[in-house]
Amino acid sequence: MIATAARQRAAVIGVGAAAVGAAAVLALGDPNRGGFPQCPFHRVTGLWCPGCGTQRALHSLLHLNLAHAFHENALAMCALPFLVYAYVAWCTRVFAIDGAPRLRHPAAPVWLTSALPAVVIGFAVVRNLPFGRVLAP
Amino acid sequence: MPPGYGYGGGYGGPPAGPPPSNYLVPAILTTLFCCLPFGIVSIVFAAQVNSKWAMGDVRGAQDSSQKAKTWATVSAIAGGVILILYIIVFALAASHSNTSNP
Repeated sequence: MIATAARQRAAVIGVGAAAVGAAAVLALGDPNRGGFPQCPFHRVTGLWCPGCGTQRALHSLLHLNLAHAFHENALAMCALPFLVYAYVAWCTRVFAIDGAPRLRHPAAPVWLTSALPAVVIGFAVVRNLPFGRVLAP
Repeated sequence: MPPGYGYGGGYGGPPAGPPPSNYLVPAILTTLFCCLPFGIVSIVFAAQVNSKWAMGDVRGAQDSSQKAKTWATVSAIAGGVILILYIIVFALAASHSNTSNP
């Protein structure tokens, strides 16, 4: 049990360190100029996948240009608050401090999780269509 | 506390106890950052976990949970391999252009 708790703490710190490292690279570098890994799906097919534009979106967000971040990848920007909440909730459960609230794992309602595949696939389809250019990076 | 099998796997309503992890967060992360269709497969299975659980389908929810985990892992590994290949190709190209310059 102790080993599991230590491993969980290491996982929380590892994920946090990876996120901070990625944020630093994306803030200091510029994915618009190249030198960043390209989406292999886009490279092969020429189509936008649901994740395409995430690096540029995070770069814009870290430079406080929220409008451009949404332009690059609106789905990633909508997912970001939930991902941040999931991480904070994970922290409060793994690093249980006496008296501090322990946030539950985000328990999304069934209708929301059920709709998610359709939302992600729909987003991928629409951003590749002529009228969906506004969602394309 | 053991997971609830209180309804004997019947399809009447949600069983007692917490549902299996739906691995929704890794599924979303691999979809956004690994840029491969595997992440979407993981989201599809992740979405099935809680709806199957709500219907009382314990085995189905556990099955979808495992598949969501598997596909998120596949997507993460594929993304990692592509990233490493990209770095190798980039490093080779950089060293080649350095040595071939007159």
